[in-house]
Amino acid sequence: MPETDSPQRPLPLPDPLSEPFWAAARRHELHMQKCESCGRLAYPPEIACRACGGGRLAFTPVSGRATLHSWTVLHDPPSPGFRDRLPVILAVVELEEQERLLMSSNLIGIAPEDLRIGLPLEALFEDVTDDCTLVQFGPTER
Amino acid sequence: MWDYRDKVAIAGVGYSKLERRSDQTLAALTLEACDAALADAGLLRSDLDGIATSPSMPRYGGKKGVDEGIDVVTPWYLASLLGVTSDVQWIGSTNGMVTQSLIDGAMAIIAGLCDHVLVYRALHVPDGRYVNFESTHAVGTDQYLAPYGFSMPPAWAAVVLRRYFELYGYDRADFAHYVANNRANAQRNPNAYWRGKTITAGDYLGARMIADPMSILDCDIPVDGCCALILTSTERTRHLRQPPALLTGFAASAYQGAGGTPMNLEDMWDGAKDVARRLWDATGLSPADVDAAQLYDGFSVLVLTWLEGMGFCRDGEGLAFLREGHGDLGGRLPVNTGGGALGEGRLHGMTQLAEAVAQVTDRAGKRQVPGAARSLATISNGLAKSTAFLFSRDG
Ligand SMILES: [Zn+2]
Repeated sequence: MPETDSPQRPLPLPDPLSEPFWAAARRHELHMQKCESCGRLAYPPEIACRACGGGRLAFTPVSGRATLHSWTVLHDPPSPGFRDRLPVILAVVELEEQERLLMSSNLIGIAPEDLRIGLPLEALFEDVTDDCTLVQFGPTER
Repeated sequence: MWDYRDKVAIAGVGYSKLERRSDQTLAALTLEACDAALADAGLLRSDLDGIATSPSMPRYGGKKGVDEGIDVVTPWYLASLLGVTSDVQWIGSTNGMVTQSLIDGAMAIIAGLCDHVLVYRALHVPDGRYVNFESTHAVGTDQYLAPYGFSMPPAWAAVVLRRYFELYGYDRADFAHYVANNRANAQRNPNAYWRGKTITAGDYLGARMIADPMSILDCDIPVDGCCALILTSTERTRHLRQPPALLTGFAASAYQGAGGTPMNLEDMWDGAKDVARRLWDATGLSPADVDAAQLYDGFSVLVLTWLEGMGFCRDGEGLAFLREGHGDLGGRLPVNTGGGALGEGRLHGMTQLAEAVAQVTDRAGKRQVPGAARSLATISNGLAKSTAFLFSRDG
């Protein structure tokens, strides 16, 4: 790698619990765990359901539609890979399928001054390497 | 109500000097604080028969400091440093937060296992940046956060503060009075790291932004140092050097917030309200009985969620309360009278505990709330591992 390349941001190292989530992202799909006993969706993936204790959780596609719950604009690099990316919008989004089903991402295609709570968003997929696709969010296309 | 209300007390408080990076080892600073606490109580090292802390060093993505005596001081190591290994009946170090060690210490005394328990928090600032996710791979919970740059606690707190501002129509100007006044409280506290350095509302509004709307002045300052408390029975304390601060009750949270973000406003309120309900049930008291509130402020926004969660203000009204000066010394509810972690330095809630003790024993000097009979201390963010303690004046 040439020395002029910026350092990479940290990338997810999938584990047995998370592999189906990241595999779906590589196919540009958003999947969440769903408890087979009570129907509650979980993110990040869990070993057992935190609502009912059920141990059977299967990944299922979700719409990718969400609203903006909150955000911050980073001015200080949290890791070497973000030194050349600042300022970056870091968002917490709430998926439409379930109250307080929150997910963190960066927002793409919108300026900080246009952000407001409740802004409609949709999942976008950023292919970072051949093996890694990150789930991001951007304003819903009209 | 808790059967052992007011039966356990804090008999002594000790601090080391708090510095950004000390040229002394953390072990030396810890001994300094522990000996100061013993001297304050009028006890000897050999009187100790219990020692507890949570010795971890929080660091995000960089080298985890684990060297004994340098990065951490475990209670087993401290017992040997103090020369009390043969006196110790009980050691505790498995808790998520040091303040849960205080609960365990109180239990050890109530059970009759220990007479004098030392609870301390030693923290070290390692070389380099405190937050620096150097790894190219993110594993465990980090894999859902670090790729987006969400690997630093100020950003976790920033999304909470942003939502609070947006929902209730506030901005940073509304926080300026509190932050400047809190630093003024630190000027009256000889232990505070920031003693000798006031800030104005203008300084706050112009401060370097870390994760908008969280500036550097919304974060506590990591320090090398230690604070120690001596816990014993109220009866024994009455024969010691200082007036006791009675432990009237405590509560802890096991509330898990939503995943996907380490902190969010609604879950922090819910967790804090659980803590509040348990604390008021245990003590038989209410927010109206509190004369001074020491609310955890590793980040400024936590003062708001605790103020509201504990029932002093309705949701969304805490910032107006502080902006109008009701949290000042002389206000309706003096808040963080010693400067809190923002003004004293990062010791994970020990500053809140030590200040509550000072207030109910008339030892707070120029920052004393006259006649303060009860002082509250809350620690962490309302979610699991958070705690609250109510201390009362003797007699
Ligand atoms: Zn379930």
